[in-house]
Amino acid sequence: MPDVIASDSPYSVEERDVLRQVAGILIPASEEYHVPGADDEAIFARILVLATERAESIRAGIEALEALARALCNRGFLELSAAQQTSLLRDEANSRLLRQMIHCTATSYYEDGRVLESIDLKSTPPFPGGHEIEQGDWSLLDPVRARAPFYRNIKAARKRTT
Amino acid sequence: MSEDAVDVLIIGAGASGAAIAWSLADTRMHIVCLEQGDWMNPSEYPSAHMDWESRAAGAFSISPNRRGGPTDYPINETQSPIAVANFNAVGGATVLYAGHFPRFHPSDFRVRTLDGVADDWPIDYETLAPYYDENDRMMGVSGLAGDPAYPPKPAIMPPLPLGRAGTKLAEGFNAMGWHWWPSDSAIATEPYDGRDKCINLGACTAGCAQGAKASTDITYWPHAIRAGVELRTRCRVREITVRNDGMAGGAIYYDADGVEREITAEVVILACNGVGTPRLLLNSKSNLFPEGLANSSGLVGRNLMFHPYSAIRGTFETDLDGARGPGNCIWSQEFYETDRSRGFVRGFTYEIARGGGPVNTAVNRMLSGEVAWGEEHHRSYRSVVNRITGMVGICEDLPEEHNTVTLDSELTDSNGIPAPRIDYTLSENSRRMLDFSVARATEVLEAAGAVDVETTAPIPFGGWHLMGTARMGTDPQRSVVNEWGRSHDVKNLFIVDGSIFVTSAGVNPTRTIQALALYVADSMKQRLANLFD
Repeated sequence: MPDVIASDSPYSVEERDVLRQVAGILIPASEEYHVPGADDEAIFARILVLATERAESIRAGIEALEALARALCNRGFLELSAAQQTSLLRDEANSRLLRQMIHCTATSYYEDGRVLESIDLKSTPPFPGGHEIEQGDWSLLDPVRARAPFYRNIKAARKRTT
Repeated sequence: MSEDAVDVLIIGAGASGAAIAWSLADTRMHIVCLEQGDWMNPSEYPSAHMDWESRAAGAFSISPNRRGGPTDYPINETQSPIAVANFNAVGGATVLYAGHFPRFHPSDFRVRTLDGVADDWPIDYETLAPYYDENDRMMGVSGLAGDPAYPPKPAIMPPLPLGRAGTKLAEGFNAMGWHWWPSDSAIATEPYDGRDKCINLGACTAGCAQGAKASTDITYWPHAIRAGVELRTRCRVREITVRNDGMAGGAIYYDADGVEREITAEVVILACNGVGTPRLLLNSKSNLFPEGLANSSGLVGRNLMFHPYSAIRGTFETDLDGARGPGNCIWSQEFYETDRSRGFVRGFTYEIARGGGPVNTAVNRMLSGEVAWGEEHHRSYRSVVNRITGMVGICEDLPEEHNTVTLDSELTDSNGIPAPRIDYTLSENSRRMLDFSVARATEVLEAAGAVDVETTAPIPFGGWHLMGTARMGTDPQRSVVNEWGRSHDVKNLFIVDGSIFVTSAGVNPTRTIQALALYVADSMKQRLANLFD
């Protein structure tokens, strides 16, 4: 369940639609890897929680994005083609919004159990189950074991100076 | 203002405060420790939650300025390329440390004699050796005996696993013909003293929910409290009071409700770290000590040493450990002892940092452009996640009087106590050492098969180790405390944290801080009849 209910959100319905679209562009769903996109309902709910912490800046970014869409294409951002939306997001004028949304989107996406499983990580918190780590190849230590001590011998140094 | 009286007042319940509290408990004196933080609840540690990386970067951040919690104090660090890391709680910074647990070397106590820089310590490795051993038993140290970089020392528990990352980097060090060894770690690899063994949670630096990592809230403190020490949390000390005879009288502090209280004591021990201790001494001004307490030398707050850190990470073509397992793994001290042909004096330790979490990997590399967003994202991300490993170089920092902790003229904490201000400049020797550490580590990673290497030096948020700001020595004009931790100026005032370090060595300081605390405690116990002479 999201931690932010609609009435608490600093974002209007229209603004949330834009954010969800941006999230889906940044990390789209993939059939090849069997993963949802970042516009998945549960993942987007978490994105909204993180985006709430920086709402003032992100809302200004959405406003600028919409203004640029209308200036260049004479339509709102959501009415543009996917290619146009991607192109707008790459525009330097939207770099601040892009950085903010990368942070919120990537964080939320890679906290999702379904996504973590797809990259061979646990779908649960690290504790209490923990992880298995192989011991590794301890025979690699053999040449180091054979090495003579190489720390400086202080007693010998003292003798040399007295 | 309420008032109470005790025999011994310890300020700070972190690495050193816990150790000396436990050691002094057998004197049966009335010992009270005041700690500004709370007891920690391991179920709240990030690794018990899906959003563990977010929590680790927020409420469990190493930066007090970022946390900004009610038990934190702000630090003005705008005049330093390295930001301070600390944690205010029972256990102090051991709650968030990695548990890397190297000892100093014999040469670290004879820096002036051997290398002609800084100063020698008034004590030597042999003096501390039995206290290192005692501390190892109390904290529970895993490792492997036989490291040729050190004099013989015991290993209490088996080392942490090499894993894929350690194996890969060991191959790199072997290819270069350079030293490496399993790291000594304050992490239990077997059940130990009521703690369970490590289960490779992989989030050690945000608190160990398993309790395998030796933070002092679960090592020393349970023993100290059972032995009769009283630990009071949410007590923030403002100043140390002074009696008419020039001895320390106790302290004035604020409780959790902000109520000002006074406590009197026959002995006062500071264990507030290399920033907190000079802050408190400098804020303890009086007619007898107008420049701050114990500061006739003018050295309180001077000679601040961090360890400038380099970070060198490589990306490989095969999966490694990723976020699984403790960061601790192996270390190398190939470049620890001085070799002037390298262009600097003293040296450093490489410590392997096993891997990174999925969120940090995604966020940092998407922001830098190394991982694509859009249709290429999944392929791009999978080429790096779980495939990055590397190391940090912990460079010895030499003491310089212009690197200081002072009181900020404007910034205060929530109780109105002046905040510390850091003025620190990276020395040319440190800069050269950092560059050298980056170059050699790059060679190791490439020899191990890394296809891409990225570096950072110094790590800007890496002020984990705070040392030198109330140095020990036999000359009252050149030091703040004597060779067993007692103030030259105030004979019932002791300091046991990293501020008494004369030099910093090229290793993590906690094991030495605690050995020093135990040594100071023993020195006090041996002199109880004439402690103030």
